[in-house]
Amino acid sequence: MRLAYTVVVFLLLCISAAVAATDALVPAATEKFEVFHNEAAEFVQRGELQVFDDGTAQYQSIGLQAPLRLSDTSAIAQDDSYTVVMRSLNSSAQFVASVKKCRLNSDQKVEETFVIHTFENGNVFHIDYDAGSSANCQNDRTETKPVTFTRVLLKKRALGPVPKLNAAPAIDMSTGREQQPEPPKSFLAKYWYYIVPIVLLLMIGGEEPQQEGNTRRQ
Amino acid sequence: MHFLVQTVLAVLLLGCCLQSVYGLFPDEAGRIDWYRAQIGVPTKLIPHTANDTSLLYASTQRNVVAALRADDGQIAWRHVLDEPIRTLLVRDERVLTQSGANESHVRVWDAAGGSLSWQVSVPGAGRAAAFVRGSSDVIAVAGDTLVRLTPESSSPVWELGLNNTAVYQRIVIHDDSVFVIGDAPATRKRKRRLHVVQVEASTGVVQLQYDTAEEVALRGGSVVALETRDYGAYLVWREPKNILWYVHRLGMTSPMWEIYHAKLVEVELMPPEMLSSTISEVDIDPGLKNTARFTLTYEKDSKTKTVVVEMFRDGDRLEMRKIASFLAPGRLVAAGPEHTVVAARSAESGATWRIRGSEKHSGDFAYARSNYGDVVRTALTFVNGQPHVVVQTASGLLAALQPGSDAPVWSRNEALAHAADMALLELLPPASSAEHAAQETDPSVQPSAVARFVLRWLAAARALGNWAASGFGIAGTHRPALGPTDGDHFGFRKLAVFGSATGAVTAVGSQDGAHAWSHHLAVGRAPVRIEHVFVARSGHVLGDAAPVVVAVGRGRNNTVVAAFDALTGNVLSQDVLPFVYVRAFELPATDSASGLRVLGLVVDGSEPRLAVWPATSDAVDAVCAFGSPLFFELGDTAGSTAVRGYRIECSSPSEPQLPARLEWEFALPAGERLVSAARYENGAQHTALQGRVLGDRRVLYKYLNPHLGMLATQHKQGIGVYVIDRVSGRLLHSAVHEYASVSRAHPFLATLSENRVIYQFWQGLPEGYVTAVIELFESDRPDTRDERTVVSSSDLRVPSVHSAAFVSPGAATALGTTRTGSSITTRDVLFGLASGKLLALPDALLDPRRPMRAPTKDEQAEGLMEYAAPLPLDPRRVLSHQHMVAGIRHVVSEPTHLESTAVVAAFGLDVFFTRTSPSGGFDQLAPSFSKANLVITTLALAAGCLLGAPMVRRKLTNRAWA
Repeated sequence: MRLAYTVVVFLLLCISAAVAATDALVPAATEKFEVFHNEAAEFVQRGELQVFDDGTAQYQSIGLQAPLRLSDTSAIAQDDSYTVVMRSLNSSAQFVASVKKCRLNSDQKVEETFVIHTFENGNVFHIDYDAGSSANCQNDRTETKPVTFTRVLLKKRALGPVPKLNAAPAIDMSTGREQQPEPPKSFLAKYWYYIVPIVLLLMIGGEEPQQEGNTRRQ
Repeated sequence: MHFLVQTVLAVLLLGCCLQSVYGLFPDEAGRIDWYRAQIGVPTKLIPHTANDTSLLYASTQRNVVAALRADDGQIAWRHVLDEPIRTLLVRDERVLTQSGANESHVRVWDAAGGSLSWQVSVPGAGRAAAFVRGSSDVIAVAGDTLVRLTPESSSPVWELGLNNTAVYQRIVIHDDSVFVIGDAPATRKRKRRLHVVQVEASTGVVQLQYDTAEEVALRGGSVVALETRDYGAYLVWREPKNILWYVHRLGMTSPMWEIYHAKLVEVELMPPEMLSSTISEVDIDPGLKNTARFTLTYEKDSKTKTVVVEMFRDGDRLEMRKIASFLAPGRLVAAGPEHTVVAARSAESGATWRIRGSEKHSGDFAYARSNYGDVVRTALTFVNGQPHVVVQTASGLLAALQPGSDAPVWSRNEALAHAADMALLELLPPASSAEHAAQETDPSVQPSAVARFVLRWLAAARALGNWAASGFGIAGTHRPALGPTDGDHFGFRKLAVFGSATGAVTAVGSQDGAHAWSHHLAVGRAPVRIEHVFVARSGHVLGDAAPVVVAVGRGRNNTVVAAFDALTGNVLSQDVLPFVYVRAFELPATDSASGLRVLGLVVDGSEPRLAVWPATSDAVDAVCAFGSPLFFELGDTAGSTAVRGYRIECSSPSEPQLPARLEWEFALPAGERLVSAARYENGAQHTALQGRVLGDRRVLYKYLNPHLGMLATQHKQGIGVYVIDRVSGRLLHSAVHEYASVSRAHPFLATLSENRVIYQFWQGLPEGYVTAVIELFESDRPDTRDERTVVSSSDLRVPSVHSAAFVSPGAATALGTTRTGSSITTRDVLFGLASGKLLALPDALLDPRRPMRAPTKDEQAEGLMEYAAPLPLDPRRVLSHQHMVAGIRHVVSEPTHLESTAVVAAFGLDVFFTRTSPSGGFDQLAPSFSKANLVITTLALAAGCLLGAPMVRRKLTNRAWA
């Protein structure tokens, strides 16, 4: 009975440790943005964009019923542009990007792409936006299709390349010339101090069973 | 008979072939480049004789201290300093310079050879310096500190902190006293005045300090400091609104004035003339005589007159006497040895000059003032006892003149040392007699068929006569001398048109540097600071309208656009526009009326606008009729925190300036400031190959985008690098270089070429210059490309990036790449180095895909080499070979008619032109090619055919009968 109780307690401990470890693996959001699209001269929230500390990002659309409207922005909704405003919930940062509205004049589904540029620590410093296609501007259509698919690309600022320097050559102080590398040693020359004792041990220690056997035979 | 006709025809045919053979000849070796050493526009000229050689010492606006030989104007020696030169003095075979804005560098040079005798650097801006008489020491003001420096020690002998009530800018030394004179600003209780500190030269102890000379400033033209060997040092000044002149002996405060009088010299002046008069110092080596000279300039009868006054002492009395008078301002008067003075002034047809004193001479210098500007400085030298008057004009021309001759003994055009931009113009080869005949007998020119027939025969007869006159030489071997505006069949000869900050527009031949024409651009008397030169119309075809170049520059509050006939230098138009432009660029449109390329000038303001030049409705219509929208960006200057892109709007094309709409804004991350911006220049975006063919025959497609731009920023951690699309403002790549920094000593340089961005910066850890390369591809997977037929900057294209860094071959001051006609030839990356070398490295060395190990067979097939960090400073790749091209700021390359060859120019202080073939001269005859062998072989084959033909005929006949 006591054993069963101990096993149950041990299992419970294991489960709680596993849950704690799983919690630790869930990435934390470093930045969170409300995404507003301009519709009829006003900015209406369409989704939320989260950037996580593990180098991933997630876009979540929100429902069309009673969406939030953006009033305190300097962004101007141009007639011929489709503008998005990303307002950070962590800071006062606000990113504005736009594309020509005619790019959304498609009879197929319209895709949009956010390219999120981050520092090494995951903080966002620039956002690029693309929607539709420039080929749509050649269409006769004038009706703008709503965006139905969102793609997010995360680009971290790279560490610039540095020259990869070789070690400085050793100089022979007696001649002033570059020291030539020593010629590679053979396997025996390299490991003789391992091999010799083993061989000696084998030679010395290998006699005994035979003597024993001989003795037994005797 | 038939055989003879055949032979004659064959020979004639071969003769025709000879005419069209061109090649590089051995005698062209060493003639493909030229080099011109410059010193810049002088700020001071001092004649002096060192080692029995008459020299002219100069400090210049390009921070050069130099000695010119007075007999031929050639540079005896020169040194390019890193900082502006404040003081230049010459005495006893020594030259003293003081330079530096934050640190005062005092240097003493050997006057004859130019070697550095000693130097000491002292904290604080250099303001004044002087030799200590009878000693090698120098006393200098650095910031608010007076120091005595000696060649024996790097530390001052003594230093004295001066009170900061004045800005000390003048040192006068007499016996063991040093007088330091400064401008003391006005206070509530006191007027502006001069403050004098008397210091014992040997110990640095203050003996006396006092104020004098109210309401005058040292550089205001109302006070001079005079030095004599035995009779002390003096200040002479006149207060504003006062006709009295005061003469004060330095160090004597009671009485303060030794003389004060309205009539200082033997000149009768009315009070208005007296009140407008100015005085200036004139002695070139003050303090060595017992007389001191200065000039008094006044306006009388609408003329500017100057008298040269000599101060001397007669017993106890201090006297002034007039020794010469000139119709010229005092700044154009210069002193010579003994009692000689010279003055030059601008005249109707150039300049006129007079020497007065122990010798009397006069003369004229005939030149077009519109070409070189007014005379701004004069100096007097003596060569073998003969006076040489050196005049300097506003554009930077130095000319030495001598009595009895209007033509200069020598001249130097220093305007090229201040060149801000250069355009290379394609030139046509001189028309041959056949081309002239074709032009003359064109039906559109000569409608009469009979007249055309006669003209053709006359042209043929003329050509025959010329041929006979040339000794019946083979066509092509006898070539007339070509001028700077004559082109050649290979396109090697171009016209280089430079625009300088001095207002000079100068055209020289790219082949040999021969001067073609010059013009001085000014608004009133103020020179225009030229920043851009464009080719507005190129004359590619014989009979076309003359080519036109346009110079764009800034006046005081305006923009000047001047158009020139590129072949003659005649000014076609000069427009002074009532705004200051912030950006000038070529637009993809041509004004239909004039045939000129349309230029855009951005006018900044709350809403930027684009002014179009020529300002005609045709030009505006041409811009608005362009198929695609046009963009420009602002804010890409050093110190900016955001770059903005604008689209030109054609909503109201009738307006003289087109509005522009903000399209995008790229705000730099917080804490970062822009230090440099780069874009494609001079056709560097052109390419012949859309991809890199890999060793396994697959293709890695290049990310080609003509709107690529690069921004470099400085922040605490290092340098940020951003590659952007300049039309959409999208960020294509970003990187940070830690421990890197940008400063005036270590500038950031970048150049764009095809799909590469090449840049150099200073790395603090490990210390040294680094050259980094970013190469953009459409994808990192081979054979994967954007399949869209129309590619737009507005479409999102995320490139795949390869980058690598190398150790620079040296500190570069300019970067560029070679450019050939079709961009088939591989490019060389050009480094203009601070050491004066122009280095051309093959772009394969800067390939970011170089493997870090021995290359595989596929990589070898692709031409990839194993990575090695140092970029070699291979002497065989130094285009400038033995020339030291100082102060390179620009490296420019232009294609020739040969795909293999590009013209390369490097300029800044010096000018260097050459041509290079990065992939070898694959489309040229080798110098060892023997044309004689070719002719002999062809003749032998022809003879063989002729001899063999009867035999073959006979054989065929025999076979037919058999």
